Amino acid sequence: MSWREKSPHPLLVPLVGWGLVLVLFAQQSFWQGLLSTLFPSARSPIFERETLLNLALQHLAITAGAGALVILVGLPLAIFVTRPAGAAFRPLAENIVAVGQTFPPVAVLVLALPFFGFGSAGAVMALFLYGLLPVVRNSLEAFASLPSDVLDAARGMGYSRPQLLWRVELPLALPVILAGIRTSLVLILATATVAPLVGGGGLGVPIIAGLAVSNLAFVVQGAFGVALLALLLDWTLGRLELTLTPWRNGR
Amino acid sequence: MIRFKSIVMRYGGFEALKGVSLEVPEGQLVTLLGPSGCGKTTLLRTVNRLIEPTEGTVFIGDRDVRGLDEVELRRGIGYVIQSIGLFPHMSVLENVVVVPRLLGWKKEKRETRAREMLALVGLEPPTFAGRYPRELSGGQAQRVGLARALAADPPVLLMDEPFGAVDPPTRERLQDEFQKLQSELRKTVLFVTHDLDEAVKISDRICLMSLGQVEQYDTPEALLRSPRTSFVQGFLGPSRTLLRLSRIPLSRLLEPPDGHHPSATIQHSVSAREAFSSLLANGLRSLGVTDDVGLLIGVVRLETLLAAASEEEP
Repeated sequence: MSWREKSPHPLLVPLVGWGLVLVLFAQQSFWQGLLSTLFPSARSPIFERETLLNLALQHLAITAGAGALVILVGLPLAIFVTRPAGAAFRPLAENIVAVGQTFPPVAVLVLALPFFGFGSAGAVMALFLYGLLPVVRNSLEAFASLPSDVLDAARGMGYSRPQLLWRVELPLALPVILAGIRTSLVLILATATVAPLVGGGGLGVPIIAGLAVSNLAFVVQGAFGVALLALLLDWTLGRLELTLTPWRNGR
Repeated sequence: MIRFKSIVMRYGGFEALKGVSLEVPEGQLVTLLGPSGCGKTTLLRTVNRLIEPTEGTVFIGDRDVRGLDEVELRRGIGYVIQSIGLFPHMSVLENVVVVPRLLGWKKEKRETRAREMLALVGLEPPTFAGRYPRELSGGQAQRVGLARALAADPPVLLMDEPFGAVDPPTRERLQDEFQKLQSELRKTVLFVTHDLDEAVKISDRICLMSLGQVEQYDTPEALLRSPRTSFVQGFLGPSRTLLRLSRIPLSRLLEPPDGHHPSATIQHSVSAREAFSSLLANGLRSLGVTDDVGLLIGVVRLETLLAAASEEEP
């Protein structure tokens, strides 16, 4: 609990972390040196059509697009089907969302091709469908497991229905919802490596190019970038959970 | 004043309340007492419309509660439940001012009020205001629950086994404090409990219920002295005489000191029942009685207590 008072802001550290990682990605010549030491036999040790920084930024943009869609669609959907008015749609929503995840993203990518053409849009749609399940399932679970005595007290105190949702249900469901968002975003970030199959960018580009020309250095470059971003994202979202739910800290 | 008029509550074929009529007078504490499943909680929840009865009408003052907006109605009624239901994501201070906030009070007024309320229930505001509910003991949480119910100064309080979930010594202390508070605030209180001792201790009147019906509605003294049905007699059990003693303040049975030095003493503020227990425990026929600072002010004799317990009329 003491860190709450001492540190300036708990999200400052992750922010600095992101800055450092992007600066690290920008050191193109450093990476070239490193990769040529690791793979002395490779003809071109680093992917040259695009800088590593740009690949990372493209990757983050695709992840952010799909992630934003997941949150903007998944959360309202979960809220709707847990209200009395939407309860009838709950099984339907659960099934559709589950099917979304069982479909391999690569297949969705190809199926989306006629609708979105080549480019990042198709990749974002496929990743959105793929990442919807954790957010919806966790949110449904979060609303279902709210303590009934707290809800009873809230109704007895005179919260109206919208007030109950905004001031009691959502804040209490937040930890589980955030855990779902975290799972989903990390999943999307890792899976976004398939985006180049339909002409999207990102860190998947050197991986797929490397596989095509049997250049292990390219693959390592992309894979390492993705792993670093995924770890950073997971850690940042963990910090965000702590900040948004101070009442649970120290448990 | 709360008035129930022929309340019937049916769940399918089951009748949870079979036509209950009852009046809770202004400023009095009435307990709904009875075994589990007798309908006492259901009856309580019809007052703030958490349950709508199948038949019958509930009045607060002379207004039918169905004629009032349910959200407005609930904001005007204090509500305390056994599991307390504090909001875990709000600090103690925020919990206490929930209703004032819903009513749109200014922030300053709310916080002043919250501090007053915390002090009223015996929690020092500087220590407790910023804590989260998970950092409280059971007794402290229950005090916050009471402060929260009282914060907007509602004339009516509904309490559903509010002291049921704490350990016996804490429960007794909470009862004592609540009794003291109620003697100053004079709220109209409807209090659900299955604990006979608790009901006898705190009530102005007791409504003993069984299977959705009122068995007897009386003052604790009258209920204990003359149980009207065999159910009431069975529920009160063989210790009802002892319970009657708990309604009698010891100061009423006091006799002047007889000059002998008493071998045991007791505080004058306790009930006749505690004096009786002390006599039995010490194997004595009389006890010295002391005032608040420990000075001997009289004696109480076993014979006096026995006579008081068996008296037909007070």
